[in-house]
Amino acid sequence: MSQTVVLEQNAVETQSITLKFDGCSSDANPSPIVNPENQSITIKFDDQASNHHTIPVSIPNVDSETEAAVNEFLRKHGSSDEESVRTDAMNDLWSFIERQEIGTVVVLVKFASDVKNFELLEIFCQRVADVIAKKTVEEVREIFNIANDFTPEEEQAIRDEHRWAFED
Amino acid sequence: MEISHETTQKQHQTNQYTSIVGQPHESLYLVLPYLPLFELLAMAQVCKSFMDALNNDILPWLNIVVEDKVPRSRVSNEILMKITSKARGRLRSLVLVNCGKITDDGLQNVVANNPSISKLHVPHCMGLTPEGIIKAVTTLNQHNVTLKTLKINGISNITKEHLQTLHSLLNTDDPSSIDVEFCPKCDEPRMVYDCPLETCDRKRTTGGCRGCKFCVSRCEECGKCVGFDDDDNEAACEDMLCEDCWIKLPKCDFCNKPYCSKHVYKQCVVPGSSHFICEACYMTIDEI
Repeated sequence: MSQTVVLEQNAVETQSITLKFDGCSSDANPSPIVNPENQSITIKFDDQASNHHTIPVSIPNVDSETEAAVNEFLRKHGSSDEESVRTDAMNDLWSFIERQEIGTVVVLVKFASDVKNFELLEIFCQRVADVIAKKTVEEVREIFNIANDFTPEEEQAIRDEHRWAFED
Repeated sequence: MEISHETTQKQHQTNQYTSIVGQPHESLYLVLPYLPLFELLAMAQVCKSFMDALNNDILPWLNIVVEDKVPRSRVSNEILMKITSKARGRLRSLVLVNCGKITDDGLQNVVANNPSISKLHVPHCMGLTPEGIIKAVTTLNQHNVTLKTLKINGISNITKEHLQTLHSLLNTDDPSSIDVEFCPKCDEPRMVYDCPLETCDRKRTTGGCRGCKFCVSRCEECGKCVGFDDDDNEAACEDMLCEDCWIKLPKCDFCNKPYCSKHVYKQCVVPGSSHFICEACYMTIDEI
């Protein structure tokens, strides 16, 4: 779906227009279609460009290197419709995230959720899931600083519910 | 002269994760749906908040993935039923790898209760038969055709008729929607791969480079066919590699063989350097 903005010119010779769409400006450089009869200019925005935050975003609670890597992904991913370009962007971001401390990635999950960017959410959540997958229950508590609020009996009851998964 | 010392406090991991001490960061709830089954069950033991989230929320149970770990062979029909019931009829994908205890009846029960499954992957589930799978897919199609991908590699006794029926049931022209086809070279039901090269030796001489892994050896990294004219580029993990990929990968200091990307974890790293020794060479050194 593309979105259309129609501007009507009122006897002014030249105008420079910066269009803001959903709080971001798009650098997709759409070509305007001029209609001399009613002096209107129609500019079609590709929905994808506006939804994918092509301007640099600022991410709270992460260092500048991480912020740069995420913005590089957004730029590259939003810049092309080609599958290979987008896959490259995802692979680059994935390699970067794998080298980061897990705390950073947890913060990034929240960021991706807040800005509703599904691609980012996928990458960051998958990374945290991969880290969790290799850990024991106690290790998960340690890494994420979660207190064990079960009594030993309660813990055993949960294990018993799916005993087949936990016995050696 | 005054010297001011700046003490930088090491940022403890706790500062970034928790808003309430001891409680999981809110992001972790978003991660739950990405966990495979065993990890999901383990998370219920971590703390009460996770246990509640897993008991009350259906989102983490919409995509069930059972692969890799030892307990998968223990997943029986009853266990499968119990797990999938947590999706309350809205199961989206079911991935069961090498779960030998699941039978056609067990599978049928799951699909009868979850009509919106779009991904059904049951490779190497030896308790299943092609007929059982056809029946399950037919049941899924009763209301709407939602099934998009089907993986049945490793199921015994698949015939061409079975595959034809399944393709027509899936109602898509996309041949990759089912992972198995009949190898053009050996005529067995297997996973068949294309060569990523436009032209290769095999294509030029034998007319085709499509084949299963038994008929056409491929480079583990890039998928190019190898071994046609005896160019033997073996990796330390015994996977085959093409010359280009072989050159690019880092090599064992002793035998000069690389590991393919999938087996990089087997590298015995030399401390303080980026060099490594492969497992086989490491064993021989150990003996000396």
